[in-house]
Amino acid sequence: MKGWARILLLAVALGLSAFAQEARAADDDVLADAPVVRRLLQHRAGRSELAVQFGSTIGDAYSRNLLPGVRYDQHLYDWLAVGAEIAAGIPVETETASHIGTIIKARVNDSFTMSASTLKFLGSAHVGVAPLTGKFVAFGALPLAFDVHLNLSFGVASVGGDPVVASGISLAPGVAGGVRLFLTRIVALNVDVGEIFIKRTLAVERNGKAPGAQYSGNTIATLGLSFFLPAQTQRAD
Amino acid sequence: MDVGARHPSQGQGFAMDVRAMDERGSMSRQTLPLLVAVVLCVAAVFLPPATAAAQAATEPPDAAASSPDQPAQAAPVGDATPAGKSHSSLSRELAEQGEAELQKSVRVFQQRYLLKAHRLEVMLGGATSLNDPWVHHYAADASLLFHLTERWAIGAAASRWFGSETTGFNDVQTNYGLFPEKSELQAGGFGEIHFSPVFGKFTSFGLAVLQVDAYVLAGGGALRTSRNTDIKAAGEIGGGVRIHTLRWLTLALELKDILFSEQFQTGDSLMQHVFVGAKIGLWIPPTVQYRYQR
Repeated sequence: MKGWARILLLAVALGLSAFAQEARAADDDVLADAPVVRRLLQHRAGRSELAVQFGSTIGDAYSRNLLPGVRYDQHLYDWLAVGAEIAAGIPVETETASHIGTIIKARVNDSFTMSASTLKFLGSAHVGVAPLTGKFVAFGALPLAFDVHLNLSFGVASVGGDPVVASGISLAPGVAGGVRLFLTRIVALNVDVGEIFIKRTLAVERNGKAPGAQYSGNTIATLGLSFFLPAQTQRAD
Repeated sequence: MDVGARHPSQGQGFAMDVRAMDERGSMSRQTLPLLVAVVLCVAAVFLPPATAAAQAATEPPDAAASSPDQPAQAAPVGDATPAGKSHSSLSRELAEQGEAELQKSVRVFQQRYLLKAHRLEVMLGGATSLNDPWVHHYAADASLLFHLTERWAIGAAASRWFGSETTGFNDVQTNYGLFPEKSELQAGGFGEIHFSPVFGKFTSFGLAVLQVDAYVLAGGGALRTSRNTDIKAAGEIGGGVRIHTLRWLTLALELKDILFSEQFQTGDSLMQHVFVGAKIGLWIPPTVQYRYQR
C-alpha cells in the first residue's frame, strides 16, 4: 500500500511540476492575447480538386476488388467540401475462395463452382470536412502542408454476379477518412481509408445456392493524386 | 505559410507577432522591456559605424587600418564618457544588454514544444488488426523508448494480443463445412529502433496549434501463437504520428505490420498482421530544458 501511495504521490508531483512550468511560461508571454494562427495559407478554400485514385478492398474473404477511379471536390471553405467520385471494379479471387472451390468440388459436390459477388462500379457524392490542417518539415529541409479530412458519402454500387450469385444495384452509404499531403500548391497526394456498406450476397454456399443479400461493410484503402485549381491560394486574416 | 502559431498552453510564437501595443491600445507590461531592448539593439547596431565614421574623419590615415577588435585605439578621438568609458565600450555594453533583453522577449524561431533527446518515453496503448479476414485481434501494447537524439530512439516493446474469430470464419464453417486452420497471436516482445524525420504542427479551426512528429520504426523479436507453444522469430515495421500534447504526455497514432512464419498442416506460411492503434507516451523527465530561454 505504501508503495502505491508513493507512486501516486510521485505521479501527482510530476504532473504538478509540469503544469507549474506551463503556467510560468504563459505568465511572461508577450503573445498571450495574440491569435493562435495568423495569415494561414488556405490550400483548399475556393478551389476545385480533381483526383485520379486507385483503391483496393481490404480483408475480403472471397473476392478482392481493385478500384481505379476519379474524384472531384469543390472546396467551399478551407474546411468544407462537396464532391463526387466514381470507380470501376476489377475483381481478384482470393486464395481462400480458390481453396474452398477445390475442396468442396473434390469432397462434397463435384458440380460445385465457387462463385462470389464483385463490385463492378461505385458512384457516390460526398461531403467532406478537414478539421485538422498543418505543415511539417521532412528531413529538416522539405516543407509540406497537410490536412486530415473526413468524408461522409452516399451513392450506388453495381454488384457483379453470375447465374448463381445475383448481380444488381445497391445503395452505398459510406464514411472515410484520410490525409492529404500538398507536394506543391497545385498537386497533392491523398491516402484514405473508408468503409462502404453494400447490400449483396458474398458467395454461394456448399449446396451451390446463394443465400439472400445483406448489407455488409467493405473496407477500402485508396491512394490518389490531386490537382488543385486555380493555382492561387487564399490567405486568412 | 501561416505565422504566429503557438501552443495553447505555452503561447509560443514568432517574432513577427510581437506588438508594441496590446489590443486595448495600452502598453502591455511585457512591451516596456521589449521597447528597451529594441532601442538598445538599434543603438548597438548604429553606434559602432558612427564611431568608425568619426574616426575616419579625424584620425590620421594610418589609423584607418586599426582593427575593430582593438577598441582602446578609439579613445584618443576624445569622446570618452564621464565614467571614463569610450563610446565603443559603451556600445558593446549596450549591445550585450540589448541581446539579453532580446533573449527574454523576442523569439526568432519557434521553439520545439517537446524536446526528445536523452529522455525516456513510456508508451501504453492498444491496437486493432486490419487485414485478417478470419481472426480479429486486439492488442495491448507497452513499450519503453530512450530517445538518443531528437530523431533517433531505441527501445523495447511488448504486446499481448486477444484474438477472436470473425463472422467470415464462422461462415466458412457453416456454409462450407470446412474448418480453416487459424493462427491467433498471443504474446510477443520486440526490440525497436525509431527514426523521426518529420516535424510539424497543425491546427483545428484556428483554435489551437499542436506540434507533431512522424516516425518510422523497425524491430525484431519473438512471439507465440495459438498454433503451438513454440517461440517464433518475428519482425515488425511501421510508422506513426506523435502529437505533442504536453511536455510529459504525448499521443501517438501508429500503424504496424508484424511478420513471422507460421506452421500449418499444409506447410509454413508467412503471416502478416497489420495493426492500427493509439498510444499515450509518458516522458521522463517530465520537463525540458532549453539551451536558450526563447
